[in-house]
Amino acid sequence: MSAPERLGVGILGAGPVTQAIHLPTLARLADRFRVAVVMDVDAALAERVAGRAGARSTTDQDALLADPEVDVVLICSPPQFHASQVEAACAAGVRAVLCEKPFATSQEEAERIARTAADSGVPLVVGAMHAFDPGWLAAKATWDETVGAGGGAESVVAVRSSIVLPPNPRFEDRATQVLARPSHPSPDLDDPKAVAALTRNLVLGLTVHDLPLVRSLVPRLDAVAHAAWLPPFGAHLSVGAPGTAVELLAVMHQQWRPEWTLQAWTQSHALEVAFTPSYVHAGSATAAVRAAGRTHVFGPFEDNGYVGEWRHLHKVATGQAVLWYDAASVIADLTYTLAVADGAAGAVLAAAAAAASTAGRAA
Amino acid sequence: MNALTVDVPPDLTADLVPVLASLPDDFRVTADGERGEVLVVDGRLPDWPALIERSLQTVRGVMLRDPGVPEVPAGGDAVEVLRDLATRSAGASVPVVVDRRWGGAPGVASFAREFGTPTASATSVTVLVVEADLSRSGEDAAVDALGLARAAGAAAGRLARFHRRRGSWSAQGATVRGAPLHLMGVLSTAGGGATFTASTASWQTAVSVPHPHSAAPAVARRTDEAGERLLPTEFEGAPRAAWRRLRELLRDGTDRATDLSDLAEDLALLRGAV
Repeated sequence: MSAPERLGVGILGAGPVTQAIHLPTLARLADRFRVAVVMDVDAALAERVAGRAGARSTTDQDALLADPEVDVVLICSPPQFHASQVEAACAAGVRAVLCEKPFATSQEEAERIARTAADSGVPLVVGAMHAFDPGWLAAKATWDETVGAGGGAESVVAVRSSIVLPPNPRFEDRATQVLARPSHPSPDLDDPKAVAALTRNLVLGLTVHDLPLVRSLVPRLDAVAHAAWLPPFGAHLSVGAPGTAVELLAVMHQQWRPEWTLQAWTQSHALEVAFTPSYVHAGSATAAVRAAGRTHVFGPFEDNGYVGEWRHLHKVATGQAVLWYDAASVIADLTYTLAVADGAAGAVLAAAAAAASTAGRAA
Repeated sequence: MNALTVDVPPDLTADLVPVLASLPDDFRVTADGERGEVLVVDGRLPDWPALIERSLQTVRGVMLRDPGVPEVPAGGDAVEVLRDLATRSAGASVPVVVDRRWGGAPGVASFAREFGTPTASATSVTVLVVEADLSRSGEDAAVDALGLARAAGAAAGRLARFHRRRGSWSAQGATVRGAPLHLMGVLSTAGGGATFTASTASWQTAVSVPHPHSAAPAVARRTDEAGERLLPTEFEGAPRAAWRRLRELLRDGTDRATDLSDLAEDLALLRGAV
């Protein structure tokens, strides 16, 4: 058996996600990838991060994309830059692109990217790592065989996604020695518009991890019926869906028990998936499919979702596989996510307006 | 005080005889044809309030098992029926203990006692109930969930929304102390169990109650900056605890059971939600 082709990786953005997630993952897959170039607008940061991987650094995105040693591009910049960078990478004709989620922040951007990807033929993998987690994949395959895929033989009656995590540094600092953390301004939590914007960002930054999985279980959502902001950074959402209760909890909190679970129920079966936190480089999710009197357990497997997405990207880039999640699928995921994000922000504003109205009447 | 005689309905024999056998000094199952001092009423029967009411003059105590929302004649109000029954049973000095599915687990009482009542500063109080008995309606299961919140020290004070679906339901509101309250229920034979969680800026408490048919105990914990504390395990389910409580009420005679009025108020909240 011949050795796998080793692909050069160009990285756009040298922040904590690159440092603590992708560089350790690429180090584990050194037989398939080598980091060629790291680009960041902070030249010193780009140089230090590149130095850790034995790569070159630059502040010039175009130079990276034109670099002959760059076969695939990883996009880890802030979300507002994702769309233009995906388009630029496709235009440059690289062999594949891995873009961190969300790969766009609006429906228009997403559709533009889809057209660009289709025209260029460049495969796009979105870094929804849980969608590549071997524990999830094994359990979902059995779930689909047992109860039918989304909208299948047996209806999903409820889904609950619960993400409770300490702030990222607690994990980042065990995955690497982080350089230059971005600062976050303190929002005015008395301002409903600020809370609504935070809620939207929370969905796009944290809840987003599991929404492709939720969509595979509940393909269609109605409006966000209820959204409650949970300080310091979290929200509890209740989303309407035809025949299905969908609850989405996402919180970053120091003093709560860390938990990252996805649960689904039909009238006769239950699916439970427990994921490891982001930044943890140790094994897959564990999962179970239950029915009365019996339980089928999956995992943990050796690889986690980060390794899974990079292995898949390698196979796609080297022509050994087709994309598991094609352009239509990732756009549908994004549409779903944006609907939840916008709906949650709207629900926060509506609740604030109702509370103000009640207070006004009381006065 | 001698063992009280209990007339167990045939449908509940399999469930109740083992429980009563574990309290041999307190209760004795009646022989055939013998009238019991304690009446057991199956709360799944649609007319269970009438069964209790008819017996108030002839029994010393009543154990109501797993009540659902009773059927009432057209134009009637189940909440008023329950309130009226609570008044009548108190007037007759006949304690009615309600063996509620989740809230009656002794681990929940310990949880409330040790970890206190969630204050208004709680950022979130949630209850998740998975009901494996598909014969229970969403409304029954929601009342059970409210019973768990009440027993855990965070009784609901307001429900703004109750959304029922065929196999699930959800509700939002606030506790009597003003903390946001979220309830979710699922009807699925795949399992069964309930979890109550209260969260504040600096700590989180939770109690998980297994399905009544499980031998597993409730698990109660508190998580904060110091780590996590787990309460001692109590290997007793809600039914046995309910029977012990009935015995105490009958032995002491000073306390009054508020079970029926609590049930009425939980149902009233639910019926009042949009």
